[in-house]
Amino acid sequence: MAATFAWAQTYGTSPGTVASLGISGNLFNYKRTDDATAANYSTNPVTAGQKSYEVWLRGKFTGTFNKIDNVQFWRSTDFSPNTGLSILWAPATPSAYATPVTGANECVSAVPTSDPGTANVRCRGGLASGLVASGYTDYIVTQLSTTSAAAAGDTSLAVFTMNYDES
Amino acid sequence: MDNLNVKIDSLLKTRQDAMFNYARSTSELIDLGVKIKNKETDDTTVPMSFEPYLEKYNISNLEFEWEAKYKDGSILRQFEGEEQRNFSHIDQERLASISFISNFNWPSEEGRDPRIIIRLNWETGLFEFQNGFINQDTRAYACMEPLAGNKKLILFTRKRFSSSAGEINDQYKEFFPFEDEVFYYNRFVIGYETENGMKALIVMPNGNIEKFEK
Repeated sequence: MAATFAWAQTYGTSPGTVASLGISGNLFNYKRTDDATAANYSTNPVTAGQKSYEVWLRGKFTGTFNKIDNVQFWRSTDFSPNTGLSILWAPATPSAYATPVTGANECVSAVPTSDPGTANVRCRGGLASGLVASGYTDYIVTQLSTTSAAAAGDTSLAVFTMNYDES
Repeated sequence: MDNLNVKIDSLLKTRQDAMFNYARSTSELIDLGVKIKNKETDDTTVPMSFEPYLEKYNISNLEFEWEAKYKDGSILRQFEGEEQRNFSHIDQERLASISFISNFNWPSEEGRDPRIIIRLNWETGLFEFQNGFINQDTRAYACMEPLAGNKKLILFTRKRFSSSAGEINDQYKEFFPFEDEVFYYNRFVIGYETENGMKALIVMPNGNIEKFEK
């Protein structure tokens, strides 16, 4: 199988707990509780005008490979409808975990909405460093930000993409 | 005029447009070589225009695998039985050629090897092809004017995974069976660089071959 990719989420008070999310299905939801359970969003809703807890994700690579590099992340499709909804991220893709919050913290700009063309997710602290053994990328931190115009109920789906080179 | 009929007609049109767009976009994704996997059924779509994927594909899950041929005639394969190799296992000093070979059959003329092969002759620095789509400009780029200088091998797979976050409102869920899908798209890059530049090709999972530029 060469390298095997899966999403991993870290949650809880630093140093946090790591949960493997796999790769398919609805892997996570934005909500007002900090855990790695997608299903409990409806009992922890984000009130219109608030932010969700940050979601701290990493790409996890295992298996046989020489190098994983050129890691890119973007949002392929937005929520539809998306009125009052925006997804923020931490463009620095930090290598150190910090306890997720609901306020303004790591997520300072809009998540990329198209193929960035070059690496935008760090590994081992650098955009060119890559992984040379099984391990994780640095953190991809995202957060749902809402305005009072956001509609009640579920948001619908947004599609996120991970792209990388494997040798 | 009955306003409800207008509303129903509008909804029928919306639904018809959505179904057509769904069918068309799915067809185009599959033709590009994007694999769509449904988590619940574990089904993965592949291009219907190709012959069935070879059994090897089910092992590696890759449309193409590399094969290195050494000057002494021995061959090193990326996947061989239980063995899995990566770039670091290739001895470039001993290399005669390096190839990407498809794990699916190409609809070729009867009697011909139906697999797609992109071979880089390591000694001449020029490419050779069997099957696949490649335009004349790219073919000229790949088959003429090799780069002078000491060659460093370029060989990697570019992988893309797309999956969803969020939920469909409960009132619509029974009509929306697609949320557990993941989209895979692999591309295969082969070539070399010297102090005078780079010459490399990117092979798409549908057999299209293009010039690779970083």
